[in-house]
Amino acid sequence: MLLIVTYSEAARTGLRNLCRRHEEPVVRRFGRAALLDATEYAAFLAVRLRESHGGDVQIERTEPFNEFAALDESVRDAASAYADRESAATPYVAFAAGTEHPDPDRLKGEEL
Amino acid sequence: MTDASGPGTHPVPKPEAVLGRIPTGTSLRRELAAAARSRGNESSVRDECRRLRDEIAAIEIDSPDLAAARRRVAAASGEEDRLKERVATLRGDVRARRAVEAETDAALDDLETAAAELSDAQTERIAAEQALEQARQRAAAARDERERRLELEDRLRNRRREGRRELATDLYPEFRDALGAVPGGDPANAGRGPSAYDGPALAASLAAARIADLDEPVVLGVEAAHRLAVRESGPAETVLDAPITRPDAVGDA
Repeated sequence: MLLIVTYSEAARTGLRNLCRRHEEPVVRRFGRAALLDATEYAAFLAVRLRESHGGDVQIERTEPFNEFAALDESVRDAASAYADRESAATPYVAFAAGTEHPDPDRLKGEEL
Repeated sequence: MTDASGPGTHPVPKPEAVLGRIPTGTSLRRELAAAARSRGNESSVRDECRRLRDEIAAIEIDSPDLAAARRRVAAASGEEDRLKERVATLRGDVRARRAVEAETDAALDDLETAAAELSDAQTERIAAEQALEQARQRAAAARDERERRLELEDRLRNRRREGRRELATDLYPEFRDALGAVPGGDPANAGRGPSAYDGPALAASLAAARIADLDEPVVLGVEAAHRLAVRESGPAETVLDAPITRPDAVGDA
């Protein structure tokens, strides 16, 4: 999908008008951002908005996320074990220390 | 490249820009705030508004040319793909010639040339990707500034709204009295504040202009001029307490 984020009042208004006029390609709207579907028409609308507002419009392309394809089992297991932890106050770094769970610094260094 | 324009940096409109033309096309609260400013009244948020405006004006935003960087990556990738295909074709050509024991010198020369071009294209593509990544990082940092500017603009807009509310509320008793002096106006319609006014918009605009102290004549639309003309209580200038330009004098309505 296309993620559009605006950074000025005028661009935000432009995005709001775009979403109002073109409901079909709009997947979801958030305050000054929106997700459009991945069609050339949606991209046309996005690029047109950027033509009008330059750097106040950011366009990114998003990909569906599949944790079973993108992550090792150990990371998924750590996430579910941490979500089920006994004490809500335990930070992950302490939770992982001395266990098989991956070290957060190592995870930060790994690209998806 | 920098850009530092934002709608939030617009100065507060001159009172004449709000009330100098009737109908005004704006809200009663804005009309009354303009009337208050025309008399030299200041809201308690005025200094903060000025500070916010200065802060917004001082923001300089780096605008790296991301489009040029993206175009370069796309062009370099396209060229690389084209040359990859060409190298594959030439390789096949060489193999086919070897298979039939034909002469391969020319085909090998072509292959060598294409392979060298491909290597250059790959170097260019990598350089283009690195340049785009750097431009993206700069743009991401600049977006923090854009975000800050937008927050300040939103805050400024809210402060200005507060200021208008304050100015309009302070002037409201006088406005209520003035309604009794303009055609179509009635103090009974005033209610407790600008949002409670329940009378004709034209009468409210006339009353706001009456209590304002404007430096320029008020331009009247057809209906406003007509209303003031049929009124028995003296000339329109007296009703508005301001010089007037009639629609026939400005050629529009």
